[in-house]
Amino acid sequence: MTRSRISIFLVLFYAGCLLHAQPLCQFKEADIIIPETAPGIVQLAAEELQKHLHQLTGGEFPIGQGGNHEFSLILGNAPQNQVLNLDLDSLPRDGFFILTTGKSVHILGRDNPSTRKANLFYLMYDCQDRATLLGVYEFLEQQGIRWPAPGEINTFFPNKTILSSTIGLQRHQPVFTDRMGCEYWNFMQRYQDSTEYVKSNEEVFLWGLRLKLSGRTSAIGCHTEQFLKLWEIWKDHPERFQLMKDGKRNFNYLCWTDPAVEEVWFRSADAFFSGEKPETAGLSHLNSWRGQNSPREFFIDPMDHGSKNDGRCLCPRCEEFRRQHPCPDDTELVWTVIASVAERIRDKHPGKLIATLVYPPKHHLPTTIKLPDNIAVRICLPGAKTAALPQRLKGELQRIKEWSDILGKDQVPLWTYQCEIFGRKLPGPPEVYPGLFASYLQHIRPLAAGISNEIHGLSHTYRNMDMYIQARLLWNPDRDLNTELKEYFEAYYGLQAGPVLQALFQRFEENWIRYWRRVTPDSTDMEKVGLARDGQALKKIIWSEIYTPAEMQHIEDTLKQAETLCAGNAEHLRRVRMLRPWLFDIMKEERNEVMHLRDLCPDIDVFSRPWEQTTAVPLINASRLKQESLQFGTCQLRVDNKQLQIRVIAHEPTPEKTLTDPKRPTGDHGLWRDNVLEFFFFADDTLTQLMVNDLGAWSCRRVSSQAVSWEPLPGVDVKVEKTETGFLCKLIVPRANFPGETLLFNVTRSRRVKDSAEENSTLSPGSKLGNWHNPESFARLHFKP
Amino acid sequence: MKKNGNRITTAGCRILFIGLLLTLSKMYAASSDTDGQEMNFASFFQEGVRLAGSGDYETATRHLQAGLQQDWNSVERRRLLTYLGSLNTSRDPEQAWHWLLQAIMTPCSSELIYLRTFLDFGEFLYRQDHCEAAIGAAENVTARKHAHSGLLFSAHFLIARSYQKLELTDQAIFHYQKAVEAGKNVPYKFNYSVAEKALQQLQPREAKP
Repeated sequence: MTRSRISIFLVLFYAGCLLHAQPLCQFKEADIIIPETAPGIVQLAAEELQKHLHQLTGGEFPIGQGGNHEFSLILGNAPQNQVLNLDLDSLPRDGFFILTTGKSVHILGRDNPSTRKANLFYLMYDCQDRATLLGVYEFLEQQGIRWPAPGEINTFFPNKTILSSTIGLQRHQPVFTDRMGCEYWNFMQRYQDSTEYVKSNEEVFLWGLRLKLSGRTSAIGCHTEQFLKLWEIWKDHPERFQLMKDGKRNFNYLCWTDPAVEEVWFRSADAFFSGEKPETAGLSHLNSWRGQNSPREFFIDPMDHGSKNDGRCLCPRCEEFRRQHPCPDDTELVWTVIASVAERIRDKHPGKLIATLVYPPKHHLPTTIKLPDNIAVRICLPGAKTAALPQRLKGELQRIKEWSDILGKDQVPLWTYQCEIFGRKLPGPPEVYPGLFASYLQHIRPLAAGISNEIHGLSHTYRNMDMYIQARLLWNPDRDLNTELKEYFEAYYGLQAGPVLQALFQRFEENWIRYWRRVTPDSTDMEKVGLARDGQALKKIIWSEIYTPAEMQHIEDTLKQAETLCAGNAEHLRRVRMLRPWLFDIMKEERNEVMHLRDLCPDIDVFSRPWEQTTAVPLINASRLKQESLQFGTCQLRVDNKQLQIRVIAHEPTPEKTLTDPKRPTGDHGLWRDNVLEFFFFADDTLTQLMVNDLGAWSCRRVSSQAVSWEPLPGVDVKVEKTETGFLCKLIVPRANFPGETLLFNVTRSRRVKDSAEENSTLSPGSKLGNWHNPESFARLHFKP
Repeated sequence: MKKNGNRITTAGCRILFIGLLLTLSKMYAASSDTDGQEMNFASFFQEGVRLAGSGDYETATRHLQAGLQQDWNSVERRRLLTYLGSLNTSRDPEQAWHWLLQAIMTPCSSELIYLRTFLDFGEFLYRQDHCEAAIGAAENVTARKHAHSGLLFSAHFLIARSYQKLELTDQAIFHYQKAVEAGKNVPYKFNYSVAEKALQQLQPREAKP
């Protein structure tokens, strides 16, 4: 009775304080009070608090039972906090209270009671109750401290020495329960620039905790079908595996309608939940339950499929099932097994769940199978980049909503992908989009429990900013993105360079959106991924259309500017400079891999103008070995009356010494051996090679993937005239042969005369010897009116 | 002495060419997937490789050429055209040249196959004594720092041989060294001794005092 009166009094007192909220509690030093036998987590929280506050104010913050200072910071289940009678059970996972009075700040939430020293991996990934630690980080944030990058060296401390806290009660909880970080556990091994940030993975875990990430929540895992390695024990049962189109069995995939398949999943789940080893389930070839990450959930999930094999069994029984349960993929078929196993384990293992991914080959919501209530799912989706495409976003949200309506928002976590770099599909361009992420979070907020975002990069530097902002927004998506970005860039790179780099990263995001819209059709049909499959094509698009030489120069100039601006601050300068080796240099290198030829190839505008007003483009040396000067040659191009007209003027001081075979007829396949000009056109995946010798004979070869043919281009006209200085070749090609607005083109000359070394020259500098037939080395003609 | 050295090099190149064909087939085979359609192509292709390996180039060519009528995807088609070109470099250079040109015109989403074409294109040019052009073709591979180390080995080795044929010894040594370096980086057991031997021939150890 007395306790409840005290509680009412306290609540009224705090309410009164809130109504007249003002920063009454200000101090420079304080006792940090923890229980005598404090849980390891609370001990760690106290140490973190002490370390940061001492560095901020220079004051002393002894950890113990108090009595040294007028002010105190009281953590966890210290007796002073226990009497507050705050209802910790009302808090969701990771929620906590911060209560400030005139002389004390109380930080408390549910904590794992173990008094053993806190294990950071455990805290980061698996500990459910660690809220006081997160509360301490919140308090430190309120003092202006930030952790814009992993590593102690990167902690930002504001310029202040007095701590202040608004008197009253604060209740904090994340908006999204599911806020898993990516590649923390293998940070040191995964990223070559890891040592620029930290000395060990422990420091990275600390970063994740400071950013209040959630660790593993629900349905974390994938393709456990593979981990069962059933091909090792079912050698005599090929019928239990996928029947492919060619009639053969593929042991990488199961036949999900085979009764033995459901049975093995059931026995495995039963053994797992009973705490037994795989041997008990008849899986004596397995040493452990690999792929099962939570004692509360057993993961049943098919193996990832390949681009040409969707993993679906085509046996008559599976096909019959599909006829009876129509579905775009194998959702119904696989869910039949999952639902059945879930039903069978429900009574024996109450509270346990069968988990799976909503991912191909079961990407849909089952409609013919009743879903049991003891399942957990995670929906795999493209994620934030979809926010750039309204129709696709609509489709994606619809898919989330379908599940959310059935399971409830809190039971629908997402697995999203910010990793176009995966498998080196698109390495180099920064996949940076805090704006899209913020927008996406607002869309999924009423539908999903959060996101495990798979964010990869060629270095950590590529992804650092996104990871920081994402963590902040997952905790509270109402944070103003612009404020967050400004704060990040100024805290990390300083007040001078920060705004410049913020603009640069903003440009990275704009570039990404342009690229993504360019290659991805905006359709609600999520199966349509368009160009997103062909890495070679994607690389060419992004490096030629988005990150052009001019754009690369802009980045270079911006980095130079940022380096100059923060030259007075060694730490800021170090961070800015890291953007070169760990981002820009990688971009340049990756771009060069794809564009080393194309950057050398000129763009030539072709107008309908008289020859006198047409630029004569010189033919340059095509040899990488011989540097001596060549006999001069030029090429001019114009369009007239729907014809492409080309003139090549070739200087030749000794025409009488030509090595051209005078008997060579037009159409001869060996014409390339003469003293010859070769014209290359590339359009519609077909190369047209027109060879003309100095005596006027010519031949034309057309090469495509399907065929090689020797036939003249329709309507082509070739003339060679002797001039005072050599010869002039006039070529007329009807535009109907190449109707597009652009055309890949080159002209080369092989000068072959007696008593002289062979000379090779080219219009396109990219087309050195060895690449004459490679269209990627040609010039680009742009036809103008 | 020099003539003798050239003879050794020529013989070495012949052995190497045969070895290259065999290595090629292994690399192609290794890059095959295990799924249905690919399995079909793989088994078809393997049969051609087996025939070529037995020395029956004509039957192998006939077999593989018949495959050009099949509806393979573009990567498979490019692989087939490239292999046909390399297989026939000596037997029927004009036809080989056309197959290689067709391969280049075939769009390809696989970097391995894409680059392999340039390498075989270069090998063709080398064997036709267009050494400078062979270098140019192989540089399409060496320009890619992240290319498969096996490909980088082959590219540097081709460039080195081309320079050696052009009697530009310093460049040849440099690229033999790069070839050995790349060979060491191949993640599986890989024989790069041919480059080491060539290097030893060009860089004889200093006589002991």
